[in-house]
Amino acid sequence: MDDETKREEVVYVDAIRSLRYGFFVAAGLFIVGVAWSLFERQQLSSTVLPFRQIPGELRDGNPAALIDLSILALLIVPVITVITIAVNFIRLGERRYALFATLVLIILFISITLSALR
Amino acid sequence: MDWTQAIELSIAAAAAGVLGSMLGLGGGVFLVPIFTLFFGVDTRIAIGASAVAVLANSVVGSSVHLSSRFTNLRLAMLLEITTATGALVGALIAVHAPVRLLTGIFGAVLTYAAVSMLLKRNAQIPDPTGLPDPLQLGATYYDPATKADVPYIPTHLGGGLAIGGVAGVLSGLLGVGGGVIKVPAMNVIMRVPVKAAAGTSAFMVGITSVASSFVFYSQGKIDPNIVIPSLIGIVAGAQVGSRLTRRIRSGRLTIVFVIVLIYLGVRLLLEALHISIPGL
Repeated sequence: MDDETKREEVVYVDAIRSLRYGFFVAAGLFIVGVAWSLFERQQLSSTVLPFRQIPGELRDGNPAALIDLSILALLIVPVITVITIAVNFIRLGERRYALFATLVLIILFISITLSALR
Repeated sequence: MDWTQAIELSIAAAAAGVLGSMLGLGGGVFLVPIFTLFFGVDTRIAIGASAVAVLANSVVGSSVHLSSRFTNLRLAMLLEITTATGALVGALIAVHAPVRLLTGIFGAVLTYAAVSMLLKRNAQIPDPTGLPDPLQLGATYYDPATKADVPYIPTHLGGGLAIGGVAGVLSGLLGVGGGVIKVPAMNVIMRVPVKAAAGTSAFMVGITSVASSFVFYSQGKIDPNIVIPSLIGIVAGAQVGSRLTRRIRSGRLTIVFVIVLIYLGVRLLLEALHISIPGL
């Protein structure tokens, strides 16, 4: 392993961590949601709930809302990973790649915002 | 959807996960045609399910590629600027585009991917010694299949960025990861070794799919009946596929991919043109 590869090790290790932990959280919500649906003998919905209805449906005890939340949690994992990469590039003084990662984040936030507004 | 169909969907998704993860394709190129041709799922719902499944495949498979250093994070961040922008545009178009048009484009993309994979088989990666590397994109990984370090420096960055944008539009439009475009482009145009191209693409498809998945989610094009079996299958398949990448030489595997892609591509093109051929 050369010096540059060693120096960047932290970027890779943290990216792996955020992918793994993010996946575990999403998978945990998903498993609980599916188990809850089976327990309630509820058929799976043929479409997902709008973002804004999920908290209310969860409070009302709708297991479909938890499954939808697990899908949203999964969709967020790569975003968190890019944030981790951007922060680590900043720490390493790699301004150019911190900027590239930030640009990617801006594009992702635009797509999420456009979706939320619909 | 009954249990039998859910299990069949999971098995199909697992196969797509293995194949997709091995070549950094995400698996969407296999999932959408399988869902529409063999399970009768509406094309837009299949595309939405594929986008989420491809993202899951990337999240699971990328950890292994990152730890092997097949993924080049600098290259991924650079290319993702145009790819994510393209995906957002593609997804906004996809929710309004005619199904027949989407099917036709998909068929054409698969056929293109098959041809480019055949062509890239003999692409030579130049010795990086002395090559300019103004953006410090050069990297080295250890290849267990050949038991050797593989150094490389990506070239033709402008071409790579342009093709990344095209891959992004197709990703958003068709619910695929865009790896069918990115892997051959990185390998043939940018001179990135195929394993590094696959590892970098496998990581990128997850980010690219975020942009399109949220659009499909907000439009109600995500059907949990299709998404849940797909997720279970593709996550299991990605685990197997990303580990196999370390061991397998890609030559013969490419031939199998090419055959599968040509079959699916031609079938979709024929369907889009309303042409029926008995036995196909």
